[in-house]
Amino acid sequence: MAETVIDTEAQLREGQRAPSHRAANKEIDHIDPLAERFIAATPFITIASQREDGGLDVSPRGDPAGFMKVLDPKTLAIPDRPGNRRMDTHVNLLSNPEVAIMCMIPGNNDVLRIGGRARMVSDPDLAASMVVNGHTPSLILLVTVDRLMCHCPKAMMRSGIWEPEKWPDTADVPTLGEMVKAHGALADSIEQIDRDLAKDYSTNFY
Amino acid sequence: MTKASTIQSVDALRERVRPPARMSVDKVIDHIDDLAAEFIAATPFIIISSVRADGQVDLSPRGDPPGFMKVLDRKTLAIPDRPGNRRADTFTNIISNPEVGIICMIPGHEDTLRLAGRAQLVDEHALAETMVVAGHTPPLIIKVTVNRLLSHCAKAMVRSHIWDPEHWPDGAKVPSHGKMVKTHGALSQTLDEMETLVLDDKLNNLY
Repeated sequence: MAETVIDTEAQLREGQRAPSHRAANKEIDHIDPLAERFIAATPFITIASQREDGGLDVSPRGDPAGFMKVLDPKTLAIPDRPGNRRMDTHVNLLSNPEVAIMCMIPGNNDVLRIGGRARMVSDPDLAASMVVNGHTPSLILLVTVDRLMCHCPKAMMRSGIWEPEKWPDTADVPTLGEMVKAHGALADSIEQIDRDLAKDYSTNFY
Repeated sequence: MTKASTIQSVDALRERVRPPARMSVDKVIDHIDDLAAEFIAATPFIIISSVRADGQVDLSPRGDPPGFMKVLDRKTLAIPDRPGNRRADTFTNIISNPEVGIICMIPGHEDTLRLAGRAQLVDEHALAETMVVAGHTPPLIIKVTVNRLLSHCAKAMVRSHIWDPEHWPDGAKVPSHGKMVKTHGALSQTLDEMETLVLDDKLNNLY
């Protein structure tokens, strides 16, 4: 049978059961106390933002649980920590404030999805409340929350993401050093790149 | 102490952040090379972002045994559909706007792979038959034409201790899916009924 491209919502819904009432109604437009507890226990998120050319970026952020602060039911503050300094997410926000955030708690199969509009602020008082290992974040993302929902755990269960006994052997998985060298066509040796990365991790962690 | 201010230009941003290293600038490629294909083959978990017709951004997790995604050629990645919440948010988005961004995560591995491109939803029986898990053939496949791919540094993974079970928080303190769905949807079921429904869905609709 040949390939059929699904390009209308009617085709998509054909033969599929409708979402349950529960799944269809679970979205709220603010951070309620339950979501706040989830956020307080979250050490890892991914942020999606849109480039000026319309392309999408997904970037990981991590810190000790409690690193994000709920300032009020509509506002989430996320501290900036040193990354690769490409600033992809930051630059995207300058032209388009829309973001989506997925909060993940290791060992917990449920995830929390948040959507809204973000801006970057320099706010010394707020930053002083987000110090980790003596480091004050220089920038903070302030997200005005428009959409929030708890996501079902099936993807987490199917992947075995929180079951270490199911994790794959990663000895043969290409490392960042290998990929950076190959993808950037760099002349430096992998050993040199790995040393540079190790230095980056030890000195630029916060 | 300076007052709070909003950053509104790249210049204001760069006053606060040093320029990236050359290796971070040069690492983006426009296709799936052999190294990225190896990474993808070991990946059991991804997060897909897509854009709603109204311009808002969505993120959705996808998981399956490692190798669930197929690299069809250097520009094309195939991702099988599995049962979810049937909201079909990502699919509906792709129909109106094909742009997607994907992050690939391998449990226990600190580097991540980011890729982006344009997606199509296809019903393609021959390809679906190569993606059977637990006897279930995916009804739909997302085909992504890759135009940006980069390997991402480990700092966020290390700072969060995401692959370090000794540091994982006590899950008993975290509100459950059943509790949040009941409260956020203002549902009349009891919490016990909700937890039973969620458990039943997990047991019976995983594939």
